[in-house]
Amino acid sequence: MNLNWKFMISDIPTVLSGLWVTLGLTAVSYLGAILIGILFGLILLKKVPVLYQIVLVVNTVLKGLPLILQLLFCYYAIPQICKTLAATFAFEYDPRNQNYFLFAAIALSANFGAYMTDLVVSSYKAIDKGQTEAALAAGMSKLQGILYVVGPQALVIALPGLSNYFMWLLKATCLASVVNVFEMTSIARASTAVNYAILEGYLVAAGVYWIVCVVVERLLIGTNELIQNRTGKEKSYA
Amino acid sequence: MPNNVVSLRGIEKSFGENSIINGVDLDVREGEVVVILGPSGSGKTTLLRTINFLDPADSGDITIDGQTVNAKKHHHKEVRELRRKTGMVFQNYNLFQNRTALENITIGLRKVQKVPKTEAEQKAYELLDYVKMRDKADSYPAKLSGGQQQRIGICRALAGNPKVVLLDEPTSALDPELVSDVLDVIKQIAATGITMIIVTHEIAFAREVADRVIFMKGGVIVEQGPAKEVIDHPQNPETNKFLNALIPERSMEYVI
Repeated sequence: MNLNWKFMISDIPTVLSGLWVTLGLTAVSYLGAILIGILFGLILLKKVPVLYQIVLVVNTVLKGLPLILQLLFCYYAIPQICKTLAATFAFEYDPRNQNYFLFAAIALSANFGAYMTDLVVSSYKAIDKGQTEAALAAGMSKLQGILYVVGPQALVIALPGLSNYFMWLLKATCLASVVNVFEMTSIARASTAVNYAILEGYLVAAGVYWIVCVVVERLLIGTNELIQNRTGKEKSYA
Repeated sequence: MPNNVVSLRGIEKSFGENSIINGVDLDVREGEVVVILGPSGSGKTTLLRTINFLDPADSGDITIDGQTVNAKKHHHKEVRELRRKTGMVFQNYNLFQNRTALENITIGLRKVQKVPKTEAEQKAYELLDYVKMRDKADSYPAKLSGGQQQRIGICRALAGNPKVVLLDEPTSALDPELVSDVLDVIKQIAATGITMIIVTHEIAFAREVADRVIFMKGGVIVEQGPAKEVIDHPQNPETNKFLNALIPERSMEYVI
C-alpha cells in the first residue's frame, strides 16, 4: 500500500481547520445534553406527575431512533416549525439563512440528553440515602442537600460515564456533515476528493479524533484520581 | 421544675399496612437524658425519627423548645426550623463523604445558620478537642475508623447548639473494641446537661447514663421510670423478658 505522505502532512492544517467546528458542536451539544439530563433526571427522581410520564416516553423515542434520522428530522422540521411560528407570531424569519450548526446541536443534545438522564438518575441513586438524611437533619433544605452533599458525590460516580459520552459525542458530531455542518470529517472528505487521496485524508482526520479523545480521557481520569486521593474513596475507574 | 424541651402528643405512624407507632405521648425535661429500649420492630428508632421529621408521623404534635409542629399540617419551613433545634447522631454515622471531618462539623453552621467561616471553624476545633480528634480535622470520613467517624458525627450533631440531641443506636455499627470510646464521649456530653434522647441496646450504658428509661413494645410505651428502677426491677413482664434475653447472667439469677 502506497500512502501519499506528503499530501497527508500538507492536509493536516486543512483538517484541523474543521476541528474547531467539531469541538464547538461537541461542547454546545454536551452542555445541552447535561442540562437536559439534569432536568429530566430530577423529574424522574422527584416523580413529578404528568412530566414523569412525558419524560419516559420522550426518552424511549430519543433512544430508539437512529441519530442520523434525528439530525435529518431537525434539518427538515425546524425550518417548517419556524415558518409556522413566524406566521403565527409575526416575526422575521429568513428561510435562506439557516443556522445548521444550531439544528445539529439541538438533535445531538436531545439524543445524548436521553442517555445523560439515566446517568443522572443512576448516579444520584448510588449515593446512600443516609447522606440526604444527615443533610436534612442538619437543617439543610433539599436543594442545599443536593448542592453541597449528594451532587458532588454523584458527580464523582458519574465521571466515567461522562467521559464516555463525551468521546461518543465527539465522534457522533461527524454525522452532522450530512446536514450541512462543515465539521472535520466533511472538510477531510472535501480535501481528499480534490486530491484523489481518499484514504490519506480520512487517516489524518482519524488521527486528530483519536488524539483529542485520548487527551480528554486522560484529563478525566486524572480528575478522578485527584478526588480519590483526596477523599480516600474508591475510584470510579477500573 | 425545669421546662419540657421536647413534648410529643399522640404520635402515630404506619408504613403501609404496618402500624409502627400507636399513640405515644412523651415529655422530656431540660437536661434530661432519656434512653429508649425495646425489641427490634418496637418502633423506637421510628419514634426518634418522627421527632425531627426524617420519618414524618401520620398524626400528632411535636413540640421542641416551645415551637409546636403538627405532623399532618405544616409548612416545610416549620420543619426546617424545628430541625435546627435538634442534632442527630446516626447508627451508620452518615458523615458527608465529600467533606473533611472539620467541614462535616462546620457545614451546618455555615450553610444553615450562616455563621462566618472563622467562627464556625473555631467552634469545630473546640468540639474536636473535646473528642480528642483535632489531629484528624483534615481527614475525609473514608480514612477514619468507625469510632472516629461516630465521634465526628457527635461533634456535627452538637455544632448547632441544639436544644435536644437525638442518638439512633450510636454504637450498633461499631466494632466491640471501639464502643467504649464512643460511649465515654456520650457520657461526658450527658454530664454537661444537654438534653438527649438515645435509642440503644447497651443496657449497662443506659443504666449509667440515663435519667429515665422508656421501654417500648408494639409501638407503645410499656413501661418507664428511673433507669436503675426499670432495669433492675422491671414491673412489666415484657420488659423483664427483653432484659433477660439481653443480659444472660440476669436470667441465671432466677434459675439459681
